[in-house]
Amino acid sequence: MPQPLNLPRADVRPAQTILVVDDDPVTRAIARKFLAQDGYRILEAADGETGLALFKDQAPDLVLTDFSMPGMSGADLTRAIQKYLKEHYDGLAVYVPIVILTSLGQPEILKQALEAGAVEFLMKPFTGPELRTRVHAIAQAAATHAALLVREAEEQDEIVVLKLLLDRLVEPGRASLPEGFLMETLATNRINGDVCAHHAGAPGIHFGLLCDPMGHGLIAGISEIPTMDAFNALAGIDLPLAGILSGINLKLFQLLTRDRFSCVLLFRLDRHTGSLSVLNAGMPDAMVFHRDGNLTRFTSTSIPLGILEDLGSLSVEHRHLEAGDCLFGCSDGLTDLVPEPELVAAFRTGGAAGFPGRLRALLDQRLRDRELADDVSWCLWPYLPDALGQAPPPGPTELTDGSVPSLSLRLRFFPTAQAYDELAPNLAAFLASQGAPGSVTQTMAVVLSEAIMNAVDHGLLGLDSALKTSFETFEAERGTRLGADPQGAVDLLAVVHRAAGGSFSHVWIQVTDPGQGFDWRSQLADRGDPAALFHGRGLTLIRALARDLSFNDAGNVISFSVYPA
Amino acid sequence: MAYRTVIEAGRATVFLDGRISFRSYPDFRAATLSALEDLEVRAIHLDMAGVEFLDSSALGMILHFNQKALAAAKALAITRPAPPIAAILQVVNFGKLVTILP
Repeated sequence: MPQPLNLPRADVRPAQTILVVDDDPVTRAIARKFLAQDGYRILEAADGETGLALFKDQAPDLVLTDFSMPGMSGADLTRAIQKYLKEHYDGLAVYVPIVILTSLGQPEILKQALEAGAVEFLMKPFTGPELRTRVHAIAQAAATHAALLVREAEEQDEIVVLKLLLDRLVEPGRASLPEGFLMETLATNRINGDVCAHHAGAPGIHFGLLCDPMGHGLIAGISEIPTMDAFNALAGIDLPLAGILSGINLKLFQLLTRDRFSCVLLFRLDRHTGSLSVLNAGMPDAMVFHRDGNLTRFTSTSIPLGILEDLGSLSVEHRHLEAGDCLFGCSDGLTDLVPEPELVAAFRTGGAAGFPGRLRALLDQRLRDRELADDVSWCLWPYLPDALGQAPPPGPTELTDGSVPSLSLRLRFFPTAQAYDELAPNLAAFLASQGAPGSVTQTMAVVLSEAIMNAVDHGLLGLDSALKTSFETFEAERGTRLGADPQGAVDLLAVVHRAAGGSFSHVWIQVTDPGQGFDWRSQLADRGDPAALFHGRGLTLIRALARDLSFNDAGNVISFSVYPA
Repeated sequence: MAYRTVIEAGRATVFLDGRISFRSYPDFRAATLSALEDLEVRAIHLDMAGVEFLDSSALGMILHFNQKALAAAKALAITRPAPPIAAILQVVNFGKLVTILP
């Protein structure tokens, strides 16, 4: 077991124990006599082997060793000590200065000793006062050096903790990034603070955030925590972009000092409709690379965040994307290395599929002979409606009855037992208030209730049909799991359609849960056996009372329409 | 859900009111307990004239109760369901398992 070193660690203190290794008893006696006057504890060894054993056993703070000794030389001892320190204390803030005592002044010897890891020489013969002065100076320098090591180690620890915190805030969104959506960060060793984040809202709704705080190091990284916290919370309730940006700004204004700020690019893409909203506060131009070769820019329209309490009127830009269009955003770390014309050329040459590879190759090329000075972040979000994997809501062109959507309502439902019970009738009443006849209200309450219950049971509570062997068992289990604060939410999208003359036509409803789905095909397959009523009654009710019932393949997205009887 | 239970002449009538959902099970069990345990009772009527809402969980609850009633040699019937409730019962062929009286 290596002994704990007596070196300065978190608390920096001067050397206390000195190991003197010399085959000359006179030198050892001088060291013992004069250094003891300064309060040092002196350890003595007459040869290198004994010196090394004492070093391992006593962990001195400083070593004085003769260069020319029988057996192990001073250079050998220095190498052995450095090897021992590396093997046992690598990565820790330890520093033991080794001073070579020698009467040989040849440059080759000095070089050997330095290469072995010695820090200083003391030419023999020396007087006692001379030794005291030199050792005092070396000990002071060692204390300063050790303090620096401690500070560096602490800073490294702080950076590790900060990166962990940021990962926790960013990773859930990144993990839910749809296939084909790219968000990449090339980070320097230090924290520069670039964050590239995604938040999945209601089905088909995606929020993106690129953030580049001023400066670097811990303070830049720390400012990302409230930014990410506010982004996740506000995007989670589908607040308009101006509201999200204002919320982040207010957080930063309240928490940061006035000389700190963050540049932010915020965007929202609805994959059902291709509707894109962008708000740029101090970042390089975001761009949409259109499939037809055109380019749309989103220049900064707001000052960076954290400077003023109120950002005033914010200009959010809205565009409608066509299939194949791509949104691109980046931090200035990227444009410093790859100017914008080259980015545009890379996209025009490679298209959406080839662009990421070309961009990475350009970055590799630019960083071949220079170190990364600033974090590089970029994102590329293609609009590919065909890749949705779930049914989009019927748009006006898809309807054959001539009705058009007049009201769209998105809800995210976090279930509790009470909310579970009350959401369906209240939502049904609201939807019916849009001009529906009375008969729709009750039908809608039933089918909504069944769809929500199905989504919560399967998607959030993990209740599968195997539990339905006993009514009491199933209900008890449901009660237990509901009471255990289930994680996740059910998303509802309701679209009220009106007939050409403006009267109520029907309501289209989509319910999405975050689960793995269920075997809806077998549940719908055979409802002829009355005994089977014990299972699948909810689906039977929806199928009988609603129209256009459909599921996605997995079974975690259900949609249907409710018409007046 | 609100309830009132009347037992007379070997028949228990449980008057149910309001919304019956999965949260109603404790009340429903309390409402039907005396009818189930009374040896004189041979028939149990669930009067649904006051029921506004019934979900699939409530249907399961009634089926479960029906099994208990059958085991106790008591005949269960649902009486006077309002048209929307009757429609739900009809949709799931509930009449094949429990007697439904207008």
